[in-house]
This record gives sequence, C-alpha cells and structure tokens, in this order.
Amino acid sequence: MIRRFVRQKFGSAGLVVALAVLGLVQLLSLAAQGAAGGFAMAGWAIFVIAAGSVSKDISSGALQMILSRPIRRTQYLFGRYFGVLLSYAQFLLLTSVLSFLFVHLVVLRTARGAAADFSTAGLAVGAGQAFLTGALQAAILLLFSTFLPGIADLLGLLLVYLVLNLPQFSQAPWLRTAGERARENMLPSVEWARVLRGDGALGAATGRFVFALTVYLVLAAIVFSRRELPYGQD
Amino acid sequence: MARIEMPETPEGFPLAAESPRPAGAGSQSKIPSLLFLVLVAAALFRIVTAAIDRGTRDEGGGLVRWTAGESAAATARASGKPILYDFTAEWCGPCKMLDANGWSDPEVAALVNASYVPARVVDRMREEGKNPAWIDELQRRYGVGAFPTLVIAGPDGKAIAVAQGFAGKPNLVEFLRGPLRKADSPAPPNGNPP
Repeated sequence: MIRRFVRQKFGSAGLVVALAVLGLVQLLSLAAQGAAGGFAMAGWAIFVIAAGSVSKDISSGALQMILSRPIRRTQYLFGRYFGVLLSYAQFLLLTSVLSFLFVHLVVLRTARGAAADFSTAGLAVGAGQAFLTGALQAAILLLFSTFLPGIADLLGLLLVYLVLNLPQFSQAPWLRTAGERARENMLPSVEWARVLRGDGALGAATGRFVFALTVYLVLAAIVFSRRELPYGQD
Repeated sequence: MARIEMPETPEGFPLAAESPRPAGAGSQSKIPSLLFLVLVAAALFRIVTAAIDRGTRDEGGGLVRWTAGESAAATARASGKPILYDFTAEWCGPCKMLDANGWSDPEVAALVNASYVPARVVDRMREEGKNPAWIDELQRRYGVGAFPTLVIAGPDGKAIAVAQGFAGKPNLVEFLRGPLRKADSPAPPNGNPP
C-alpha cells in the first residue's frame, strides 16, 4: 500500500512539478535564512502530497479494486498515511541534501560567510521539525479525506485552523481561554527544535501531540471502516 | 489404483476445492484491537506527560520554598525577614527564564530561602480577565506594570527595592544581596534590573 501510494503520487506529472517548484523555493529559502528558518515551504509540500489521498481513490473507483483483495480497510488507510509520510520524508531529505550541497559548494565559495549558520545538525533538526509538524497535518487530512470528496479535506483543515484561531481575537476571556485549550489539544504546537535536541521530550506538549495524532488516526480508521463506498462516483 | 471419492453436494455437484478465502466485507471493515491499545497507550502518555509537566511547573520557582502570597506578610512579621515578591504570569517568557536560571539555581535559592519570605504572585488577567482582590491590591501598592517584577518589602510591607525583568543570575544575586547589606537604608524604587 505504501509503495502503491508513492508510485501513484510520483507518477503524477503535475504533482512532481509542484513539488519541484516547492523544493526549489525551499532550497533558496534554506540558503538565504540558514537551517533554522528555512523549512517554511515544506508545510506546503505536505498539503500537496496528502490532499485527497483517500477520496481520490474512492471517486475514481480504484479503492473498490484494491479492496477486492483480502486486505483490511485499515491496512489500506494506514498504507496511505505512511505513504504520505514516506513521500514527505523523501521530499525533505532530497531538498535538505540539495540545499546542503548548494550552500557548501556554491554559496559559501562565492560569498564566504553568507550562510554561516548552515550546519548539518541544524538542518537535521529543521527537517525533523517540519516532518513531525507535517505528520499531524497529514493525519487530519487523512481523517477528512475519508468522508469529504476530492480535495475538500484541505478546506476542512483550513476551517479547523480558522475556527480554533478565531477565539483569540475575542474580547470575552472565557472564549479566549476555551479557544486556547481547544487549540492546545486539537492542534498541539510543540517546540520540536528543543525536543529534538533532547530537552523536554516528556513535556505536556509532546503528550498532547502524540495523543492528538493517535486520535485523528483512530477516528479516520473508524470512519473509513464504517462508511459505505460508492462505485466510481464522488 | 485407489479411487478418490469427491464429496458431493445434495444436487450431485462436487464441492469446489477450497480457495484462499477472500476477506468478506465484515472482516475487511473490522478495526484491529491493536489500534485501540495504541489509543489507550497514547492517552496514558498524555496523562503522564501532563503530570510531569505540572510537577515541574509546581516547582516552577525551582528550589525556592515559596510561601502563599496572601499569608506572606503575616509570615514576614512573625519571622522579621523581608518579603520577596515575584510578580509573574503564565504567559511571560522572561518569567520562565527567571524560573530556569534564577530560582532553580542552588546559590540563588539558598540565599532567598535563608534571608527572605519568598512569595509568588501569579497574574491571571490575560487568562481570566481579572485577578483576585489581594493580587490587585499588591500590584497597585507596588506599581507593578510588567512581568517579572521583583519587590523586596520590609515586614511592614514597605518597598525596599523594586526591579523589572531578568538580566541574568549575577544581577539577580546582586539585587537580592543589596538590601541585606544595608538593611536599614531603603533603596529607591525602580532600581537596577535583577
């Protein structure tokens, strides 16, 4: 299932072009800002890779073909999820290696000191941070993809961000507090740079992250296992 | 040669050789129980990390033995020691630095525990829109407008030294030692930052 997803994704010319453009922009961003601040574009790559990962198979009828084999729906579902993660990891690895080579072979030779903060450890931490943040977003997209058509899962994720961030602009303290609690638990933000350096790995934020990720995946499994599948329609 | 008897159906047709059984809709839709075990494990991890975090935050003031803010004045009057108020807030970044690099330092903690009645006053205005009356009263009395603010007050409640922000351990130690060196000569409010 994982290999099928990776083959399917990287077999699409549009997606490869989109990832190549994102990779190029990220490469330049890494070269300009250094390892710590250069992975902002990676957030867009996870959307490109993970959007509609299940819903497209449902609407094309491919899912029904796949499920004619003796596999569980959860096997298929988690195959998609780990396929997303593998593709994203490949994207991060490739852009990191290319950025490293670009900075060390081109930038540092032509403009010495231009990217002084570009270290291998910093790059690894930045990529790890992007990967873990992406893993949560991919889980939310997977959940929405099990019951929303096409790439409406992206809109669902956008809506979640919007709804959870609006209360902080409210004048009512109770609403701000409620919004903050909801955001902390549904979209937990972890200081991965600190955690990946071994500080605060057992902090409350890490616990919230692991629990939220698991809940999204279990919910996706429950919804996907229970739903009736249409044939070749969306 | 022995004749192999094929079982027959009531209609007389032999039964087909058993093929690998394709999973029916029921078994395909079955959710592995492992998934729920993982969910339970994640919930336990969530609870444990929250407890660890709370424990760390309760120590928040590091090694300093804090007195309840409301009763600090009474304790100071009884012991004759000056009060050290730490006006802090949950959301305040420099306050966390003060916790980590100041109150968690053994030298600082020993000095505070030996010479002061330390009391933390946690502002809840941003979270709850209001503070308990005693916090409002203390903030008004010492003119607290930013966090962290440290106030050293005599047992009578009169301010001896006030400082805002956290500028490292050496400055903090200097701030804490200052009033002890000249216990009888009150320093002007808004002294150097600790």
